[in-house]
Amino acid sequence: MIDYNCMIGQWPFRYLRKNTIDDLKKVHEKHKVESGYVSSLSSVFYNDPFEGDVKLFNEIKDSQYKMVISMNVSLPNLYRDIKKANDNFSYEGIRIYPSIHKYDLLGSKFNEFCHMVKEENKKLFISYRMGDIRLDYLYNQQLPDISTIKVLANNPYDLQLYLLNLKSQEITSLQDKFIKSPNVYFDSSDIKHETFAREFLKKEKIDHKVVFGSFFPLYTFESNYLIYTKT
Amino acid sequence: MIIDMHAHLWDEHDKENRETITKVLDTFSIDKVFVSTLQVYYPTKEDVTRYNNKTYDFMKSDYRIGGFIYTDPVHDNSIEVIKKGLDEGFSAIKLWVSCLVDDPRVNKIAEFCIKENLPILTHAFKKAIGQLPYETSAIHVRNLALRYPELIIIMAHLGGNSYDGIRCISDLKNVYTDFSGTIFRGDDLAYAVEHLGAERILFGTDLPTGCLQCIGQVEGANLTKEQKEMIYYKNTQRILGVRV
Repeated sequence: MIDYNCMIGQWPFRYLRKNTIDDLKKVHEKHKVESGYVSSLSSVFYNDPFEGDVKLFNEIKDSQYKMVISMNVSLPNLYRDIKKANDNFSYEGIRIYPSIHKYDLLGSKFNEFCHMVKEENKKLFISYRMGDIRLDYLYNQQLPDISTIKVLANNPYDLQLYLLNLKSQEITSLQDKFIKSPNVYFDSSDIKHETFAREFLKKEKIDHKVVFGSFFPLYTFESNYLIYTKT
Repeated sequence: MIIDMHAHLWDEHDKENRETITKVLDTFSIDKVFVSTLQVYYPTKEDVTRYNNKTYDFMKSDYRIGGFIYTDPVHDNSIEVIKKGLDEGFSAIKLWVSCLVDDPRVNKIAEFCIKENLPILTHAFKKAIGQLPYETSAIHVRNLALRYPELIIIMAHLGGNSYDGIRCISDLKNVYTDFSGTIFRGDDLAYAVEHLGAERILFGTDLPTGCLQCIGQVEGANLTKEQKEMIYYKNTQRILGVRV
């Protein structure tokens, strides 16, 4: 089993008791999760996400984990950022946070970014939400309109695409896209609203498109593990 | 053993909700579920009667189902609704979003509950967006608890925002909380245990919407066996007494 949605590092809005690579390893080992695509949680709010990625790289370089760098598409000079990452890290994917960094997923800059991701042959992880927006007291997320996700789910850039933290009803609204697009997946981190979530996805004929995502450390790992394995 | 003290039937979907809850009981080793029926934010008296009848029907159909009486403090018959529920074997009171829990109209319910040793489970949530006009948050729970120190109050959902809600009630020994609902932020439960102690935290899910996320929170919070037992069932047994 692989965790497609896990992070280590700091979150500015609350004290996280378990957020280090050792904490992640411990909980993964306990539940027989062999590996994971890990990104830096600290990078989400850094002015330059690269700073968090340097720390992440040093912490996971000799481990079973695959590095996912963080990028803010609204920042200038994206090409330089990718080149810098290529020069410094071995990494598998790029993770973006449009609800936090607030840009248009159908805009020209994002279009340019996706072409770069394709050129580099990296996986793209899109975090649709970063937790429950009802609890955003200090910083309001701006969730992209689901219609823009529909466009991306058609996979116009022919990417290996992982849509993270979608809710069950959002996933079903994209059902035909998931079925038609071979390289587009969603993760299990926010499918909690259906009590028998996997059974529900099976009924909707898209269970084969779900990958395990814990959203560690922002969500309780055990909660998502149980939802993924027992429903 | 696990007792889920916070679950619902939704009036417009009660049949499928009953199926889901029964399937959860059969599948996930939960021994008992306490249910209240809800639907509209501002119900009529007829709505309330129908809601409680649906809960009662479910209780009669399965010994594993218990009931919480839904009553609306705005209505002049709120005490009669409770008396009827007690005669039918309900175990506690549920208050929702039609009226803040520290509204003076809740006083008569609080006084009746003290006399009958009945706990009140109140919805509580502090939302950054979409707060309803009469939606209780932890500060309202605090006001009621200070007004009636003998009243047992269960503040649902850790108050919605645990870092606000828990701080608000931590010094009030007559206030308990549950972590029901779909929020399962890492460390919320650990935070609640640190500030309240495991003896003031009850296991609830908010079924029919989700369930395993709540079990996962208990399992992920580095608790002792004794603390888990308190949360899973012993605290509810103690608070509801013979009504379990």
